[in-house]
Amino acid sequence: MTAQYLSFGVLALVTLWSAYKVVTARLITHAALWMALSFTSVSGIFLMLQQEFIAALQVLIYAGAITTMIIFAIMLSSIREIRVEPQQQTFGQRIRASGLLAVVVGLVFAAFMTYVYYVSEIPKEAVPDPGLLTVRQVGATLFTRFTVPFEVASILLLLAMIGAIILTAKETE
Amino acid sequence: MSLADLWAQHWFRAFVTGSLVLVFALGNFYITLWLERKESAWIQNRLGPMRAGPQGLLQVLADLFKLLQKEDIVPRNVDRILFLIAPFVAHIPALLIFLVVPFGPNLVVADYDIGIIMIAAVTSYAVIATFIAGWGSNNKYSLLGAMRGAAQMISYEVTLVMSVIGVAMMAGSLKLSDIVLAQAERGVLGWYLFPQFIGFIVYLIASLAELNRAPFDLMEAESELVAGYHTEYSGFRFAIFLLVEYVHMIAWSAIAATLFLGGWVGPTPADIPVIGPRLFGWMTGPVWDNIWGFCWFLFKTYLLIFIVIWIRWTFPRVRIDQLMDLGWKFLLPVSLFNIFLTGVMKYGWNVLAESGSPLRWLFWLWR
Amino acid sequence: MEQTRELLINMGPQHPSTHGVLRVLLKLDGETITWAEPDIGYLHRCFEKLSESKTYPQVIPYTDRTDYLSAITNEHAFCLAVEKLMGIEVPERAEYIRVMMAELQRICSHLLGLGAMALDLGAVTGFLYAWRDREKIYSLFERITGGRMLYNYLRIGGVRNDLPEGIIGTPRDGRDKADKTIWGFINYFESYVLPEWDDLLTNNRIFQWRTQGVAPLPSEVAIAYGASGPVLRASGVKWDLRKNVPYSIYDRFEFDIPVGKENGDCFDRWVVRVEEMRQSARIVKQALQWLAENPGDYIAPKLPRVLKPPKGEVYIRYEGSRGEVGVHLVSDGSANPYKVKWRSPCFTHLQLLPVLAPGHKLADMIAIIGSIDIVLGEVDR
Repeated sequence: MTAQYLSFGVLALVTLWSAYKVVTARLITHAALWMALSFTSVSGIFLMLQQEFIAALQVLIYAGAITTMIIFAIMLSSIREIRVEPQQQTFGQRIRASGLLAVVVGLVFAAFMTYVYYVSEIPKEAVPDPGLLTVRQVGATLFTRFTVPFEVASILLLLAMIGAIILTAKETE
Repeated sequence: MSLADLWAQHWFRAFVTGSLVLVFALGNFYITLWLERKESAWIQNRLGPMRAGPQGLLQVLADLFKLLQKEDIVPRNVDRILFLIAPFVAHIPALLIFLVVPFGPNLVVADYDIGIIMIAAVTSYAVIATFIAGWGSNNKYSLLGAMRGAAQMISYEVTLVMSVIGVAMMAGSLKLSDIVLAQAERGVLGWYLFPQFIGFIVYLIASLAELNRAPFDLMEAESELVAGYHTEYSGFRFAIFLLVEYVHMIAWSAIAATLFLGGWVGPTPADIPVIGPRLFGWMTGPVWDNIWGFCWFLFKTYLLIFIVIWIRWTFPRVRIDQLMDLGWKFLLPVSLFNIFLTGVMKYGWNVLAESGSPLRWLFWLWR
Repeated sequence: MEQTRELLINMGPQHPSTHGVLRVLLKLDGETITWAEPDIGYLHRCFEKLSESKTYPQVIPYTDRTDYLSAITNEHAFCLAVEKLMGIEVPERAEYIRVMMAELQRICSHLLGLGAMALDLGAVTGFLYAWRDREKIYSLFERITGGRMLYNYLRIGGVRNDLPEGIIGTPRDGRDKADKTIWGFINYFESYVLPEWDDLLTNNRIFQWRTQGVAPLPSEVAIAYGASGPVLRASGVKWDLRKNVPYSIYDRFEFDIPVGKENGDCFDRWVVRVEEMRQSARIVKQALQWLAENPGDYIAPKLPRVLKPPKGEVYIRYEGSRGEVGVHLVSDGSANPYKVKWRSPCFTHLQLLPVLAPGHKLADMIAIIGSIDIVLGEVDR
């Protein structure tokens, strides 16, 4: 059990620390890479819960695809570095500004999680057999109970894709 | 604590199997590198390495020692940390793939239910490693190489996954050992190479692109980008990139052998009619099964590696936009069609097999 | 919206694909070239000035070193100029040997040009096949001239020595004699090498993708820029100095001029070169026939020890391997040339680069440089 706690602790710390670095990194490429690390350690936590499918998807979609997309956006645009003019803000001001934001975001998130924990139907105790969520079940659920949301999401993504193509096509004209 | 007790421990098993995978990967890296040099020499009317050891077998060792002796140069203006860790990030995906590959009937490190998805997931780190190397080098050629690499890999990963979905449909599972067993039941014609021929071709092309092997080695196209993302690397960091490239090649060939060529399935000497059981009957049992299985697996893997090397030394390199066109406009639709076809054919067999109509033999391959 | 930034990139002088020490400055928008500028002069060796302090025969080895991949044709051009200036009659046998050597050299030079282009496009094997066959020509040349690359074989008025015993061979010589007799090489080349090039590259889909439609050069532009040789012919202009302004004894040979289409692209330039090798092989065969039928040992006329051409100037246009080689020779009556001006086709062709490259991808740059087939030794002289 201690080994599990230990590895959870390490993963959680890595997740949080890299998430913090995403916000504070000055080079935008570094931020993207920290984000990939953060996603990876989240998938580690999923693995600890024996949810291999979710863990693999987390890596595939977030650490893989999303990070790559962001990296691509960075490389194609000319934003390389976020500079803060030194005379505009003192160190204290910066800490206060970012601290306030962090507190607000944290509170909102905490409220949301509390709501989810106490109000929703999610079982509060550990599920006895965690190997529940197999690929087969996910697939079956997606194509029966959640068909409409699934299709709507697909159409939304398609629209976004077409929109992006139109935007870039205009630029090259 | 006895060995059996130790084996029961999770960490011990992980350590031992992980080390074995590493040994397998490194050993085959050595052989593949030698094979590439010999095969290319054979194609090009040369002899290849001949001096170090018989047939130049020790040449790779000599080269690796040479690279290890080199000064570890870190250029002044690089992004130091990223530059230093890039080679190590690069080899995570290459080695992780071997975790799910069944080397024999019982020889698999972690038999995940989600084998194929797991492979697709870990390979996405290869893009990140490329980017880290290209960005960290602070060199225009490296950055261009990394950009090409990122574009190429995300495009072809989609195609790659699509091309193996047909296999998953045939086997009804994403688990690699299940896929091998499903092929084992049905003899040589049951290998998914035949019903999934389109998928196999698409996989072969897409994996070449994913591997950055010629004719898709755009991100290290030496005539355009010098050496692409590893232009600035030297010494053992360069050696690690080399290692990763070849381990990746072995890994993708191993997966292709597993998915399309029946993996470890193959006849053993005991299967020879008449004399087989009498002469080689003692070569049966679980241990021997694993040994034969491993041999067949290696044979099929090297067959594919041979083809991949052959392709490299035959074709010119394609251009980046042609590569994208090929991937998105040709290979992806074809692999989607393959999924459709597989579904139709499977359904057709299911319907017709019950009715006993002679038409069912049309669908026999997809049974 | 953020504007995408242009990337200034320096290709060369130490770059794997710039064929020697060429530096090309490129501006890239993504991977598309918007501007290209060749920067030359890294291989300047003062050939023209150096020649002024040499006697006429002493210049010949220097001409070898301008376009070092096509040495015989340069020697030939210079010798023709001096001979025209002095009015020297060249023995018939020497003429045939010269033409045969020049055409073999053309095959050799095209082989390397095509091989290097293939290499740059990623087909390493094509390059090594080119070297394999070049090696055979070189071993033949080594037996004839004593040198493998820079021969100093032609003399003003003739050639240095006759062909060695048995090098011509018989028309029945096959592949096994490819590096022993010229007939053996030609037969091997026609029956084995050319089909191999077609199989490996010309008919290869990927190769066609990479070259067809890349860097089209309209014939007017080609003429306006003074392009010549294969580059001009690939743009559909039927212009070959061997036919149009015959020199030496080229009017006695039967051969065709391969031309490309109106808007010659990299693929046309490739095909024209492959075809030219075939035509060169035809010329060599005719020369071999004549040489076998007319044995003799009169290969150079008796000339004074110190050559002092009369005052005057002369211009010779010569169809070199890469295009029109022009020799402008001015004599003041002394033993040293007053001025040697060398018009090099590569120098002219390199000026096409800023015209051809913009709008294409970085990867096409390689195909373009490969297809105009420059030799930096000749560009810089």
